[in-house]
Amino acid sequence: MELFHRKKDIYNSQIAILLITGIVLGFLVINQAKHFTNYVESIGRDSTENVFRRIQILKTSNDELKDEIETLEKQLTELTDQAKSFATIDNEIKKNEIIAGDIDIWGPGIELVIENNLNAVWFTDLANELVASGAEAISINSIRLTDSTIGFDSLPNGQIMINGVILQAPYTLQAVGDKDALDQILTGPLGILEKMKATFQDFKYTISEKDRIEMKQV
Amino acid sequence: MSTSIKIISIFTGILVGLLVMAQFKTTTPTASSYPLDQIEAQEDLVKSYVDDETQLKSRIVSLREEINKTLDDNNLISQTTNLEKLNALKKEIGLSEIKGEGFYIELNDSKFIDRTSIKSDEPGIVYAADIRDIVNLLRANNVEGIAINDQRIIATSSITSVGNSLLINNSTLAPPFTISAVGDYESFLMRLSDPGVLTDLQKRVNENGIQFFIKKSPYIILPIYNGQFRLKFIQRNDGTVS
Repeated sequence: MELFHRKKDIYNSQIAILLITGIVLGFLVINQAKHFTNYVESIGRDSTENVFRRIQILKTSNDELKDEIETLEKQLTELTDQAKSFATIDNEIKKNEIIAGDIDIWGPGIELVIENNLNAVWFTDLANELVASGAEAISINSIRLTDSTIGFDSLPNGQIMINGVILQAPYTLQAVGDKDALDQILTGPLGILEKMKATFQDFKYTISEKDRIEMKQV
Repeated sequence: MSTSIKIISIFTGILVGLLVMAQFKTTTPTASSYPLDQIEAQEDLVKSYVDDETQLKSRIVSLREEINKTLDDNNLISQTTNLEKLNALKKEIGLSEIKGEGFYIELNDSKFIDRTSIKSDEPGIVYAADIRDIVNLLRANNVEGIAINDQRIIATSSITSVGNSLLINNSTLAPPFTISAVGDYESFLMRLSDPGVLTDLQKRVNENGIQFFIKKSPYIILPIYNGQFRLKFIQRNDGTVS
């Protein structure tokens, strides 16, 4: 009889252990599935950036707008002075030539080399990410992206064309700007390179900060 | 302990171990857990920045118009070829209005969705990526100029999202999004008929109720770019100083 009770106790404790293990297991499976869902959400094409990021963007943008207003006010004052107006126009032309891509330029920045074949969507997103990260000039395989650049076009055979030139891997993207900021934003959590790593099975890239990046006029 | 229970226990142990390891190795962005008053304060701050931004951009537009008027009024300067060059450059970089024949694309969230109360990956809302793809397609079609809800699109315009808001030229825009383009309507329509373009958007228009309309217009005016140009790090490479 005693042996029967001992066996029953052992059996009950085994059931209890299995029950607790089952609960822990269930909790872990659900939690892990939740993690996976969050991860999948985070690798969508648009990151769900938070309110702090929004405040940061607005603050930086407003500071830059104030600088632009200061420059324009100075320009307006100088234009009303005949003696200074010629120089003001010349300076404005020089500045606008840089923006339009009508002149060779240089500056610090980053160079990103991607070995995988990419479609038009990735090029659009990469260019957008660079601009949003503060790039002042961008080129892809030595083709500078300006207002006169024709967009990324997908050819029927899957190749990508820009400005009448077919892009072939490896793709070299260069960007002039704050090299540390560009590097950090591109490689940071939820940055575009993390998304690409999650998308491509064998994503191969190198990113390097450069003191001097040169770009030819368009 | 019976053999079958031993085997079950071993497998359960291994599974628990693997899951615990996976838990530690998985890193995901953490959601905000701020109290409501702090969130309200943040939203107030955002609103004040947006108000400032609207005023600053409006001041930039009026200053650029004043500069153009001063240049036109100054007879001596207007005789120089430099002024023609400057005006041509301004046209190239979005500092002049573009007027002409073109078309509008109107893009809106599904009628059954309230953007403010849903997750930003809901397929029934317009994503920043949709707008980027349309802008790229318009550029590939070689249109003369593009504007979205009166924000002129230039080479350095960024189109991103923050939560459920879209930021274009760092301005917060809300749906409906009207994309105006000066250019050839028929050739763009032909391009749109290719099932290989805007595939994700086309799917969501058909399945999730995204609203997409395109309409030809005999006369469109694209506004001048009202933002800033970043030229902090860039230098001319021709020996002269900018």
